Amino acid sequence: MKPDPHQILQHYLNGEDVSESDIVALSDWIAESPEHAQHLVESAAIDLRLEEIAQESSLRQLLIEDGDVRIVQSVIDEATFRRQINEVHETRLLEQQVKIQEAAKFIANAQGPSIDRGPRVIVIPKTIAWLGLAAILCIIGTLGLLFFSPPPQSPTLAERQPAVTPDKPPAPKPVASVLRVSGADEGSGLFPGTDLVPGRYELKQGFVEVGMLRGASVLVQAPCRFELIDDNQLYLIDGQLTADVPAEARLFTVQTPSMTLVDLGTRFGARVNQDGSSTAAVFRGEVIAKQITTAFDPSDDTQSARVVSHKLITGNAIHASQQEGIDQAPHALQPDHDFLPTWRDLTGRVQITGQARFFVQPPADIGPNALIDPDHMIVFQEQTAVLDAPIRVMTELSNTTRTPTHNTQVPAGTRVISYMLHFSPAEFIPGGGGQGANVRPSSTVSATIQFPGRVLGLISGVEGMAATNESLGLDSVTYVDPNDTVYNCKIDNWPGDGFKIIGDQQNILEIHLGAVVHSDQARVLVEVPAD
Amino acid sequence: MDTDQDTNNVEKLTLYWTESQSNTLLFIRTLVRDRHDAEDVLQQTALTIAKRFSDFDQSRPFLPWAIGIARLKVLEHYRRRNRQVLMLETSAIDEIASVCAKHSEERGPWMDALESCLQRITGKSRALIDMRYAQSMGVQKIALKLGTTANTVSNALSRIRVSLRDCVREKLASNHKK
Repeated sequence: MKPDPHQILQHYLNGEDVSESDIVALSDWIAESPEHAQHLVESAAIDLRLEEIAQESSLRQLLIEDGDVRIVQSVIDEATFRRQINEVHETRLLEQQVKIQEAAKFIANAQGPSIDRGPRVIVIPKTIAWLGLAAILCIIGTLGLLFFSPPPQSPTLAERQPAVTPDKPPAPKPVASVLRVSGADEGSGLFPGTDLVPGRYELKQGFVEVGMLRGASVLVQAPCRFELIDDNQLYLIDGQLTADVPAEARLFTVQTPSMTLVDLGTRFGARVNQDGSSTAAVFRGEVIAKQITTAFDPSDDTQSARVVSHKLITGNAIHASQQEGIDQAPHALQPDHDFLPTWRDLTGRVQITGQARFFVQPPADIGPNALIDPDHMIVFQEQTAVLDAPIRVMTELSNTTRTPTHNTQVPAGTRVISYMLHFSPAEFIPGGGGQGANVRPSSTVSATIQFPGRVLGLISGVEGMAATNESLGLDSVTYVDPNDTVYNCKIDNWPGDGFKIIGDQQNILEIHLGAVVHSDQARVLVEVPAD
Repeated sequence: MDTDQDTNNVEKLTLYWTESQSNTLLFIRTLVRDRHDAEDVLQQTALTIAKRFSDFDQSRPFLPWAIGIARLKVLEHYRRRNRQVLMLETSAIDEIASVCAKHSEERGPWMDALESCLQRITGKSRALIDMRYAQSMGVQKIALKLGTTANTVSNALSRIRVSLRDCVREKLASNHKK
């Protein structure tokens, strides 16, 4: 029996599964007559409009929000609502026009290193703006410019009319999830694996890595308050974050009280100070930083937007405030910039399984009696460095004799990221007996650590560690003193010690650290991964 | 590059795009049924249009040119999805492109008419619309919720859509007469 094209069309429009033969039949039917194509387009247009109206319902909810409490005020009158909603649309129209202008500017200046566009005033006759209002509804949610997503308990189409709604509105959909937590306060409600819906979050202590549904990773550093808007956009109320944005999440947007940052494929940081001013820094790639102020001129019925935008490239930073505007040009990011802790973590992200903990913030001290944990070794990233001299590392350890069987040199000029491994299972008790002076319980921990690049080798031993502390360590950390007897710093003949470098890319370290009398430390050198 | 000319082009592009984006999105949504995918295709289209605007012959209408670029982006999208979604044949796509390139209704009256027509829909039909569009529920899920078959839901949605379309046409025609 020949399939009925109307029936297929219905399934197609309803988003139902349609077989290949049905698609062929539908295609033939559409191609048969312009009227058929018109029929499909009109039906699709109705779908689109109904979605838009649903989104408008969400906007209605937005306009009557009161701080954190979302309340539906039935007293709001239709005229007020219409006026307010049109204002929102107009703002969006301006945003959209700015975006198009920016795109065009970039193209015109594609080869330039950094662009200072300076202020530009766009004047849009109200009539055109009105024509565009409905058009803007169409693209709500596109280009990462959706300011607001449907809030919880958003009134739906059914709620706009007295009608039968079979069930309560569904729970809001998650737009992100918590990937990692380090030292965060429990009150934040941010635990690994937690799904996050649009809304406001506060972190009082520690760090949390949030994975946006569209793919961006955002490392939030306390104290910080932020609001998730949708799966590719957030509003940073105050505090600091660093974002790593893969290609699929391009146009990831961070709004701050004083500027908007639109990612063009990059890693960048944003900070909002208590006074609402903000700073952005680009570690790699490109970001648009823009500040838009709008004004209505009643004399000629025009809406104007003053837009200042800059393209930031790798190594650029910029500052903006509501009072003083945005910097006239990007400036160079200082080597000791405030984003270093989060930046380090994102670039040198490791994945750990087993008995190890990754510290986003390097500890101040890894000397005696610091970081005692019988169940975990501590891992933290030190720094990215270019070796100015060859460094001797070990890449194998004999299973039987527990001695290094393969030493090699990492040549000068190699760009490496260094990581510190530290295991201190119990408090050091001077003169407590045992082997010489100390008594400590024995303990062994094992972990698998996947690094962002090839593992070039391990450095251990008091001398090796001390010799590389200066070039690879961090100024902010107190390292082992070569004269201190608390450490052996060796991956050595203690049966608990051992490691293997595995994985197709030689980027995974399987490591076991055992300690009785002395703590263990090792430095791992990892090749800087290609961008 | 001539800065004045550049500025002029940028402003022209802004206006052209403002006028054309709704039809361009309609074309894309007709062919790419997933809303998020469609948004991505629209985004790619907008960027390509901005990139290639200097090639555009401004003595010709902008909308067909924009739709032409959107058509390429839709085809690219299908290729990227590697047949995970079924694609209408190119002859059908071309026909749809042709309709959208001419489709120049004023959105305001259209929306108003649709809003007005929606008032006529009450009870279960309105609940269905609500589930499908406001809550983004699929046909199967709606059927499960209402304790009926997917086919019944699909037919009901289709009937609502047809009645809305007829109602909108009627209202626009009546407004036109006035």
